[in-house]
Amino acid sequence: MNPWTDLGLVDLSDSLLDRQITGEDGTVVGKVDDLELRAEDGTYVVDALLVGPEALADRIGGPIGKLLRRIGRGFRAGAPQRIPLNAVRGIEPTVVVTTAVAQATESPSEDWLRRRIIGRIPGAGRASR
Amino acid sequence: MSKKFLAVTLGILTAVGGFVDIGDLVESGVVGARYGMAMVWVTVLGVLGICVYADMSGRVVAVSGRPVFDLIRERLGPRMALLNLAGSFLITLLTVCAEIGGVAITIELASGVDRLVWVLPIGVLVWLVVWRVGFERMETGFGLGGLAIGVFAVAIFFLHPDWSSLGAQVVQLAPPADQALPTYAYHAVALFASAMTPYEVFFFSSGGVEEGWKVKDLPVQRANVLLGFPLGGLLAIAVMACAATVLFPAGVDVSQVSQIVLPVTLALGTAGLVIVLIGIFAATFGAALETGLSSGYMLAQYFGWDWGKRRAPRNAARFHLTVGAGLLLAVLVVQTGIDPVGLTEISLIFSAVALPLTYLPVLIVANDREYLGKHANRHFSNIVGVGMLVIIAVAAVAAIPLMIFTGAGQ
Amino acid sequence: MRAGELLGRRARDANGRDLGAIREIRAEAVPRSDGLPELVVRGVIVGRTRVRLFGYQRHDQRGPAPLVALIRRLHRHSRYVAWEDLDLSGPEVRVRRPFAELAGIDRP
Repeated sequence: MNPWTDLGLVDLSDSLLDRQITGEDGTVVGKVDDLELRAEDGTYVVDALLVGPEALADRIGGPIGKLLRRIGRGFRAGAPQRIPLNAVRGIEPTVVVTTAVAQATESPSEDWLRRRIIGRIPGAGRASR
Repeated sequence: MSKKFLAVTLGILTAVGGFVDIGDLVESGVVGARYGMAMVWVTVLGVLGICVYADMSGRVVAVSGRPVFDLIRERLGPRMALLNLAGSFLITLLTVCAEIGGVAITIELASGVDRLVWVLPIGVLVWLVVWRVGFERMETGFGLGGLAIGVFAVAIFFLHPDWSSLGAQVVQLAPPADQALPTYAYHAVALFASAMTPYEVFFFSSGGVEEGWKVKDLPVQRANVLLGFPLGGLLAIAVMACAATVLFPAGVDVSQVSQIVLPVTLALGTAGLVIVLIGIFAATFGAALETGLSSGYMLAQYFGWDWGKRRAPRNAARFHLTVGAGLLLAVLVVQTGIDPVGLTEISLIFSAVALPLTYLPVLIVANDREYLGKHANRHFSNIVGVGMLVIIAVAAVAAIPLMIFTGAGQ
Repeated sequence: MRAGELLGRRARDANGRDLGAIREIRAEAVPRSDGLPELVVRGVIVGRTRVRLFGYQRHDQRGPAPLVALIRRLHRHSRYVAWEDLDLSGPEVRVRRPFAELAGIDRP
């Protein structure tokens, strides 16, 4: 249940940032676009994984970051999705989170494209074989 | 037995798309007609390089399930990975254009009807395969179909070449006396860069994920690498040898697909021509699929979207939108009537960015015990991997000055 | 605060020497009172080079030798700074110790 105990010291850029997040059931969630830190006892504690173009845009910065943020806003993606750290089940090396959290974390752009474009094309509901 | 045989078609299709897609087919013909067999060593070097790196990326997939662009984002961080994404995406999109143009040229050669008529139908057909045809069926059909290019190898024997002279050209390792060194170097860089073009590892590793490779599939992975890429290299060398036998002595300067198939027609007549056109059709169509899908793979893996043909399209909406939009753009570009083969030469510029930034993270992760445990790189992979990385860096630095200085190898 | 806001911030040591910028955040996994694990930030790695560490501060990231040597050389001025030695109040991070007293970057 505890994904960190055998790790001891964890370098956040190396082991968490920019890794793929999936649910225990295999649901694809997104990337760890940033981490939220909360002040506690004079230091910081990792509070949540942040997923979404807004969080990524801040890390990229510059005109490209701005463009990315604008695209995200176009799909009504505001604040990034937060995944609380206690939802993390393992690092293998994908960051695995609980199924419930994985399915609750949604992407506005994916939803929009599914409803408006891709889902309307015949055959969109069946995997190719 | 047949099932085991079919399990290596991912490697074959990847390699066909890397070594005998339309750009490489023409480049192999150009090089063979101009330098004889003096550039075989570049293809051999390219095969070695792509084998080592495809094996590393395949091992990472089998053990951890992570495809190459995941590793790039994770190790290079969001900014450098984005730079790589931009370069790789442009290369891949330009190649999609070239392949669609190549399929159109092939149909024009077979039917006599102008190629521009075929562009839109081909685009739609490629998209339909992406949308509906399963991954394994796709790689079997187009991978094995592309092997029909092997008719070049048969044709050589019927052309009765002077084998000793061909052999002498192979070991010469330098341009013929009347050819300038910078132009030779330009073609060497172009040939090497196209052998190691980044979409091959994107496609190969993502294909491994699509096929659901696990640790027990490591032998399958290795068989794909060791069979697929050398086979692709042999096909390219066969094309080169045909050009070296027929066109090199005649001093013909190759610029068109019709000239490249000429030796086969001379040797085997109409039957040979039919087979070679089927082969080129399958290879270029397969390469269009490989590059079209790769454009979606890299974007989805950079941003963490769901992707792949094993999902219903509605569950990978952004992936399918990317691939579809890329194909549409390619159709529009080719429809303007610009020379599709010339397009692939521009992609060399973007290779300078994309090649080192693709292979460095693969090499690093292949040495990471957190990922690979006991399947991490051994000495051979590391020695060749580092050597190739140095060659890639040199080629990347040299590419653009050589291109400007030689007027793209004219 | 976000990790991305901490990474890339310029840093100076007690004598005003330029240490480059924060390149990595090191946290420790500790069990909370209710048994759930928590990642507590213990320090940062500062360094002048913009080239990443690529995981070479970990002992399970090994080889190839020439690459290890290259990354080590690029990061020869990179150091680990414990959290209590950091002053984050200004726009530039102040490290309360001189460069010579700082520890290396290897993860124990």
